Amino acid sequence: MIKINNKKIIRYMAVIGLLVFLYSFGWLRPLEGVISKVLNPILFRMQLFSSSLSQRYQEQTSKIDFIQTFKNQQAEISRLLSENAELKIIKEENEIMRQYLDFFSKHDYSKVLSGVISRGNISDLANRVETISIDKGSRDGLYSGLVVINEEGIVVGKIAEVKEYTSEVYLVLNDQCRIAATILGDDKTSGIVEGELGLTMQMSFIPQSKNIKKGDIVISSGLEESIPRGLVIGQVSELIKESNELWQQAVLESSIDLDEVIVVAVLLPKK
Amino acid sequence: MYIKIFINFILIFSLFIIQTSFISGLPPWLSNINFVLVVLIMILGFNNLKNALLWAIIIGSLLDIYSFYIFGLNVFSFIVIIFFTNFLLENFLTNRSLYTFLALTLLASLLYEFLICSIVFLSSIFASQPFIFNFSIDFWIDELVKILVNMILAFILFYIISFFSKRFKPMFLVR
Repeated sequence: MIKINNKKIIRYMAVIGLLVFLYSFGWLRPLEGVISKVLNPILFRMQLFSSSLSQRYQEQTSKIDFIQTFKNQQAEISRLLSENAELKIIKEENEIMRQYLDFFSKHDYSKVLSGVISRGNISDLANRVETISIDKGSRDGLYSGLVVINEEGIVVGKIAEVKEYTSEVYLVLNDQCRIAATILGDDKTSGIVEGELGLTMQMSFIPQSKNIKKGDIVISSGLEESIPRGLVIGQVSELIKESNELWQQAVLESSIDLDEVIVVAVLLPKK
Repeated sequence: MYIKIFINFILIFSLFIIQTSFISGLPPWLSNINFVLVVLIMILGFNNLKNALLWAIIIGSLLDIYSFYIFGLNVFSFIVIIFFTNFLLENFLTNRSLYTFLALTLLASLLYEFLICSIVFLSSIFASQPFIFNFSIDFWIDELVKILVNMILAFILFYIISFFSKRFKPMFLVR
């Protein structure tokens, strides 16, 4: 005879219902606050440890030719040195011009530093790893749409959802992360950068008439209210141009390893 | 008694920390492990239903606090899985062998994924952005990997627990 304990099932479903009811009305918030305050530092340390293990594993299994990479990097450094010299001259001229024009910055941004406490979610469908959870939330002034950068000022992602003590960040590879962008040095070429299959980024809605090449740097255009202009998003690695299409697309790659991001900064506009 | 309760709470919080922060940062195939699910099945099989349900409620609530899906998703899923697994244990797979636990882990993993997909889809209907499923080959491969790693973990945990416990001998069915 098949045994089913209906009373027990009903009792536990009632408990779940009560929990959901209490949470919906915010009555569990104090408990949530205490738990978050106690657990967030521990979660951050554990994520740090886990990431270091993962990195060591990647290093051991990597088949990169380090000598070739080193040579490529040396050539890149030389190129950047000469470019840097040119930019320094331009920068000096720019500073003088700004003084003459009495130019005031429209936006003054402050940063909120935050640690990564989790990647993805066990209940995350299709095992997305293009999201991270950080240990700052609405209590720290965060809200949806804010940009998240790393220590070099390179865009890591955008805040998608915010709770009181934690926030969910969609990384730039996430197909739900969209940023208004432009090509560095060519302000008139703008488009939208969004993640593609969790592997790369794609800049869309670039007019066919624009001449873009591999290696061009893509930055935030500043058209979005809470995202300042000039933040590096990535570099063009491939172009998709069909003559019968209105727009062309550029495939971008980020210059940072998003799996190694442990501490991020969230930019908050100052009013 | 209070020491037992305290130890249980420490273990629950440790399990939550391991699942949320440690496992999520591991290399891709390892990060698919649903450590919580496998441990709950072990508690159900080696201990009793009441303890498994209590653990499911507490750890499910913790996961829901840190999740950005609808609150109650994890609690509800784990409770349903515990009842389902208990139903199978008491009525069909009564011998508590290694094969039983592997079968339970397989079925529980499938049920968990089904419940998550269903609840997220239903809740997204009321949200501004409906959730569109992409049932590509990659999705199914991911699901298969999740089930396989859970079964491997169940295999390992079963051996460890059986080694320290005298309750479940023999481990394999013997004719």
